[in-house]
Amino acid sequence: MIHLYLCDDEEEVRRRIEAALEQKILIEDYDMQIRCSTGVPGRLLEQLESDGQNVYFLDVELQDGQWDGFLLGREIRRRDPHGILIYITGYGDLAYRTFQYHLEAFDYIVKTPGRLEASLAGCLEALQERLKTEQRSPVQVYPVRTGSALRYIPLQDILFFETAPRPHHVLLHTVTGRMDFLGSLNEIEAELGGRFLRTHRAYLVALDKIEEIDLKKGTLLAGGMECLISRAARPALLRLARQTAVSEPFRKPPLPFRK
Amino acid sequence: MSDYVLPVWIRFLFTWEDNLLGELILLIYLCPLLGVHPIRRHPGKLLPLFLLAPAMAAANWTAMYLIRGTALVSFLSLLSILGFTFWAVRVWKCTFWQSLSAVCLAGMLQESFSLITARVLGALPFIKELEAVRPDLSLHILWLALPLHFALSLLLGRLWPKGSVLAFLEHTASPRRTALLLLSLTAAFVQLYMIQYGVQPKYLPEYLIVTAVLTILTVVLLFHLMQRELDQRKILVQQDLIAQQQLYEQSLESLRREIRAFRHDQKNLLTAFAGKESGENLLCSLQALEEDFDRRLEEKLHLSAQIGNLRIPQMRSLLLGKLSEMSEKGIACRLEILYPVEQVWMDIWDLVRCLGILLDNALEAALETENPWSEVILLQEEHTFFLRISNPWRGDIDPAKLWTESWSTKGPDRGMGLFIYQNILEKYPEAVSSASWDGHIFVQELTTGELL
Repeated sequence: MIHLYLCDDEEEVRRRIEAALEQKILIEDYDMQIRCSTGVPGRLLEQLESDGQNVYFLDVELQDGQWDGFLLGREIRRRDPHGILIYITGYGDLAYRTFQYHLEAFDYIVKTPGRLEASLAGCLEALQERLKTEQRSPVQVYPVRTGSALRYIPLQDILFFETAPRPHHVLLHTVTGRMDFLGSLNEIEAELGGRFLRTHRAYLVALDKIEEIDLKKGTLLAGGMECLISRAARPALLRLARQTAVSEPFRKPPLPFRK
Repeated sequence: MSDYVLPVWIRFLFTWEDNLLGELILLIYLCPLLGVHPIRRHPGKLLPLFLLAPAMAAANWTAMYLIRGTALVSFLSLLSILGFTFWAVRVWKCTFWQSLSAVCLAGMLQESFSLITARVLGALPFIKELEAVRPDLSLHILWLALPLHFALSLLLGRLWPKGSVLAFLEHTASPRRTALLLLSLTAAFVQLYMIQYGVQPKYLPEYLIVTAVLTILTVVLLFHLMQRELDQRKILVQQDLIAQQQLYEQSLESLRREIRAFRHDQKNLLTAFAGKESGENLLCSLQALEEDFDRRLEEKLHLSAQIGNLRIPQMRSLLLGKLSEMSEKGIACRLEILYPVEQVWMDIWDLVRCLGILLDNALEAALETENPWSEVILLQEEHTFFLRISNPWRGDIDPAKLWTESWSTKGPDRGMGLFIYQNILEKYPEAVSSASWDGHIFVQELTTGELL
């Protein structure tokens, strides 16, 4: 059962949203239920239970003392890191990207008269779709926290972790990005276990991302980037090489951008 | 040692060793000046230095034969400074004059401190005894001074605010004049070094003290000068910023007043029309017009509200300048600052430099695409400051290579930005930066503050 929470301080709009959601759930027979619908952020937080999958519909222009849309979303994120945030706004042009990037908001719904119901229905469909795919093939993720922002990096995207030049900093390399965060390779290694190999004091490499091993130079390539190999890691790497059991395991063609 | 003459090649090796030691000490003093980072990254870059030593030894020997006995011999060490300078230009990616200034400064420290440490070491009783027994070891004993130099250099690195020398060299009005002045100062210290062989033993302590005092005074004076120049520059820039700011605020205020008046008139007109005329079509189209106008006004006000949330004048000025540069070049800009930004947990000038680099990169990359746009988000929370800049890019280079210092596609200036950016962040243990290049959107993020 997926629980929906709704917070909008405009009574009439909230009623309409509630009705639209309930209608869509009924028609499509979704396994969803509205658990809380309120105009007061404090009440939502009181009733919040992060025991299952929750979806929150929050008003961007919420004004209630200490709370506004962003701060409420952030507090919900803090209490329920896996909750899905959907924002409802009166000003389509001004949809705040900060919400999207910092809180990983799932969707924006604009309160256009006459279009609100359709947008809500579409949003629920997209939501159902996403939850379904996640259920079918759960994606393992690695959470990275910087300040109040929490990012989930799918494990399958990670090439390797590397200790950064600055103490306590770790660089996470993926195919499409590079993140710097505070942490230690030892902890990450203990956390992630088998899928990654500590090839060097400063490198923790995803086994399935290794493309090329050059024992003579003491380096390997993952995602086209060079990582170091320590003496201690050689046996494990050789074992891996034998497991992959190709006649010439480490002579993939050089990547195009290497000159 | 005079009893027997060592073979020529051994003596040559000794000269080599002497040079190598000198260069190592110079390197030790150079590192705190320029930052140790590039060397730690690529220790292989040290290799040319070791080649410099035999080259210098050979030059020494040749010079001995050619200009034996003249005072010119003492200036040979300036030759190694030149070699060092070229090496530093490559490793730290600075200009020749910047590099020469830094190397001269380090060379000056090397000359005077190695003079002092060598004499102090020589005065130690057990070393005295050792030298009496094995005079051929006297050169090797000098290696013992290395840890001492290391400690001194660490101390200097602590005392000088990090990066101030580099910042000074970057900002100084005439790098050539600074470099030449420092070079002559170093030449003077080389002479001071040579004088030790002519000083009578009983005056040696005084000589050493004078050397030490001179060195320390010079360093303190230089540092004071650097600080002053930096401060002055900051004041100038600040005045400039304030002027710019006032200009901007005035224009914004007048714009706002004008628009408000216009809207007021228009509304009155509309109501009058609606009362008299039955032409509903006219009313509708007028209303549509007004809505459109409202929306645009809202956007404008939105932007000004966002800018208004940025309470740090230096950043505001930079951002305004860059945003207007972008819109001039046809880049659609979007700025989002939801909450007031008053604190960034970094030196503001450092952050301004970072922001400038990131915005320049975004501008350049966006211009290469068909529909250039750029989006800037700033967010200050209780304990952190977050900055995000995104832009489209062509995706024709491998972003992973961006951070390696040798990377560049369009001349030496490009790609340097990110390197400098990384160097600035080195100073802040709790600043984290991320980049991603999903699809054709390039994103740079920076978070500073109390992250732990």
